[in-house]
Amino acid sequence: MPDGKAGKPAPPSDPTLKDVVAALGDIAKALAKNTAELQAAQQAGGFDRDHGHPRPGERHASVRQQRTILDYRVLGALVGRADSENLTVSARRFRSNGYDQIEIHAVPHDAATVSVQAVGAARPELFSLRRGGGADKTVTVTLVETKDKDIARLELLNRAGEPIRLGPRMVRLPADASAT
Amino acid sequence: MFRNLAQLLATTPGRDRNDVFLIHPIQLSRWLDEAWDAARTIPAFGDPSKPEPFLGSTDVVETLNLPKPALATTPDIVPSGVLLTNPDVYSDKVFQVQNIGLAWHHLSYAYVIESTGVFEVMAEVLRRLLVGETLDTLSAGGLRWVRATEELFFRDPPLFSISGAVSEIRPDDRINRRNCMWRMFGMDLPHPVPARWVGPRDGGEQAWKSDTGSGVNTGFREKWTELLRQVWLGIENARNESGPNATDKEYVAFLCNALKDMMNMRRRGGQLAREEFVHVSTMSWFHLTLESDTPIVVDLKADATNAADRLAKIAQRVGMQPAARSRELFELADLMSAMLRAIEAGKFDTGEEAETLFVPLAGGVNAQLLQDMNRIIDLWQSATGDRVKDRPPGTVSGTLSAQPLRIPTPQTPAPAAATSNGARLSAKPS
Repeated sequence: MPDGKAGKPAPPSDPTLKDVVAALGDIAKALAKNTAELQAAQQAGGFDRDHGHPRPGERHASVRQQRTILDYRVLGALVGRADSENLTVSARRFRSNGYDQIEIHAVPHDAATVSVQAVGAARPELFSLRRGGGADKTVTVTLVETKDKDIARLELLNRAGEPIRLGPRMVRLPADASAT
Repeated sequence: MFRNLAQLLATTPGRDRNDVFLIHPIQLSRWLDEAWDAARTIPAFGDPSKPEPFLGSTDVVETLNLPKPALATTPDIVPSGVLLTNPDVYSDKVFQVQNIGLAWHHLSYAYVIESTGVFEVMAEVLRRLLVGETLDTLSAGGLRWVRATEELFFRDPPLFSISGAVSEIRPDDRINRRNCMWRMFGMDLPHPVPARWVGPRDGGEQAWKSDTGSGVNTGFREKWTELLRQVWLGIENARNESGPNATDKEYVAFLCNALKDMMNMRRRGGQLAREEFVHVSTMSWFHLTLESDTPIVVDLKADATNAADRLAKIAQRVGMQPAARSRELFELADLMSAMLRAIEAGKFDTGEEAETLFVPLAGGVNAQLLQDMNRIIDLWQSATGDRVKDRPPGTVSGTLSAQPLRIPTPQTPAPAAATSNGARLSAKPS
């Protein structure tokens, strides 16, 4: 619908069509934002540093391999070989209004999910993080499936589902505990 | 654990790794109990659905740690009071690790560091400084080191401390360490216990092998060397896009599993956890002493650019000689320890996971792991004389498999005699 002046499409006059066009614009923006975030997450996870393509003979690490690599690096940091910055997060478990909660500190901007694995559980409890970019922040999650259980492993995952940080083991809280 | 403390000090503004030597030995001794407890919060490693228990037991740290105060206002039992910001003062608080915990090195670290001969050399230095005047006068820093070293490692440990792995039942730390290393690795230290330190209650020659029963990992060295050989094969073929590729990632995983099972057998129910902690802590003190030109190193006129050269100069002052390959050993200790911890935790149990040891993955995500493995292979080969990079005859032409018919087992009876000081690691002649 060119308006004949600047070659730009003229705004639709029909109110319904106007809404449709606006919605399409929102979808386009969301797609662009999501793609950018995914690319950022992949790059932060160590992917696609070579202009989006693995070098000859290389392939992407699977999630399982990413976990092995992270764990190895964390083990090295724990024994004092290196600084654990950018590998681990500190966390605090506490009870508030009867809810079993975990406060995770300095969550990096590329973390998309918190994975909480209870001792003996077949699968972790996952919490999606809905937050914008920017500086590292504190995040609080309320445990449901894993409440009142010993937590063996806490991971932060990026948008691709790869573990990027490891948190501490946390035992279950005493019934009358307010904080730990 | 003293190098963990050094690392914590290094990340504290205005402090330095060597400030560990400024902390009073009573605080350092108490800090060991707190460092033990700091392993309580280490996350589970391995497959998240069935993680391997750390140290062979899910609760050995909790079982042996100090009780917690009943109330928030109840004081802790003899806190170390270590303040990272100022080692000259103390608080009335237990040292709180801000991150996810502290872990001590694998027993292999103690074995490799002690193989350099550092413990016996420094024991002789200490003896000479304390009983005569054959060495130079010390600076204040050197004097602190002498006092702390004697108190921490050459006298009975404080009662009811986690470091008290010595008693009438097992009176000699030297023998105790050799016992643990023999059980875990089926290997002796390359030097004998100096005659001066063999006591009447030590139980005779090679007492550390008495009553160990079948609980000795005699096949450790063969399996470990074979793992390194297979990983090297993988590294050689990592970018091989044509011709046969002899790498077998499942066999690498199989070897990792075999090593894991072997080591975890010795750890069942948390066995050796406390002993490992004590022996690793001891060796970390001496390693830290030689890592830089610390006051005692300077006092002994042993300034150098690396730990092995410092040790060689100090040994010369007291008429001794360290291991010929101590440079490799000092460098190998950290790397091998981290790798064995990861193997023990089941991090390379599958072919897919084991592949991270030798296949470069996109973006360099496993670059550190590859580099560490390559260094371990180089250093182990040089330190022990095990020819890791050689291929079996016939393999190159493709007439034989790159993998042996069966998983390696010890070919010779268990080693019986330790070699002289300064020799190579001595599980078998190389």
